[in-house]
Amino acid sequence: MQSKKIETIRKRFQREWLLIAIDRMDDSTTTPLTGRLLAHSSHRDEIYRKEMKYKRHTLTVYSEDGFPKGYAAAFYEKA
Amino acid sequence: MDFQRVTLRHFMKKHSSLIKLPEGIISVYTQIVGPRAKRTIKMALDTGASFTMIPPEKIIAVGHEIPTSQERMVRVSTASGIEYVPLVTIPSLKCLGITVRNLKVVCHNLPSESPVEGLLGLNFLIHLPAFIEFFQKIYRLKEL
Repeated sequence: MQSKKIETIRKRFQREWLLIAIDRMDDSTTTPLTGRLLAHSSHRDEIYRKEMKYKRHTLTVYSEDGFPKGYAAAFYEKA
Repeated sequence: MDFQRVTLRHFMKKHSSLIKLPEGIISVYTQIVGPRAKRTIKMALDTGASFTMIPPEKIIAVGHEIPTSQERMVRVSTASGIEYVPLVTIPSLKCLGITVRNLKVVCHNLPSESPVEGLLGLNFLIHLPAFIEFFQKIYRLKEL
């Protein structure tokens, strides 16, 4: 399979979790640049199960950048 | 007090047009390295989080174990309540051009509706020169 830009791969999907094998990274910003799609699913757990068998450097990423309509972020973690 | 309000309002007016958050959050790619593998995940910058939070599946995938003993669990206050979660020390976490070694992270999942998988909390951010500058400026404003 041909290596593609991460953003190009993400744009192909809507509301799905993607497992991508990273081929090229910008190490100064930790940004993955190109890779090959290994799996995609609307269920994140399925992607987590599949990634366990890969020893190589992978990226799990959601196809969308923002929250679904009607959602807002309220994170808070204080141990 | 009035002076403080005017100064803050003036600051916000001057700078709000420069700050755009298209995703509603600030997200960054982060690299976790373990004995078995390397993983890159998208995380949200969270100045409200004392600890960095990573999904347990990622901790396992890179080759670490998730502790189950009571001594290595911590009580975490979240937006939806108090939870007991494992606390793990990971050898290295790389993001925004810096690598922090032996970082304590909370193992917990964000809801799957979230476009990010983890939170980059204050225990990572305090190592970041840009954040130190931001922190100092916030404190200067507080003192006005």
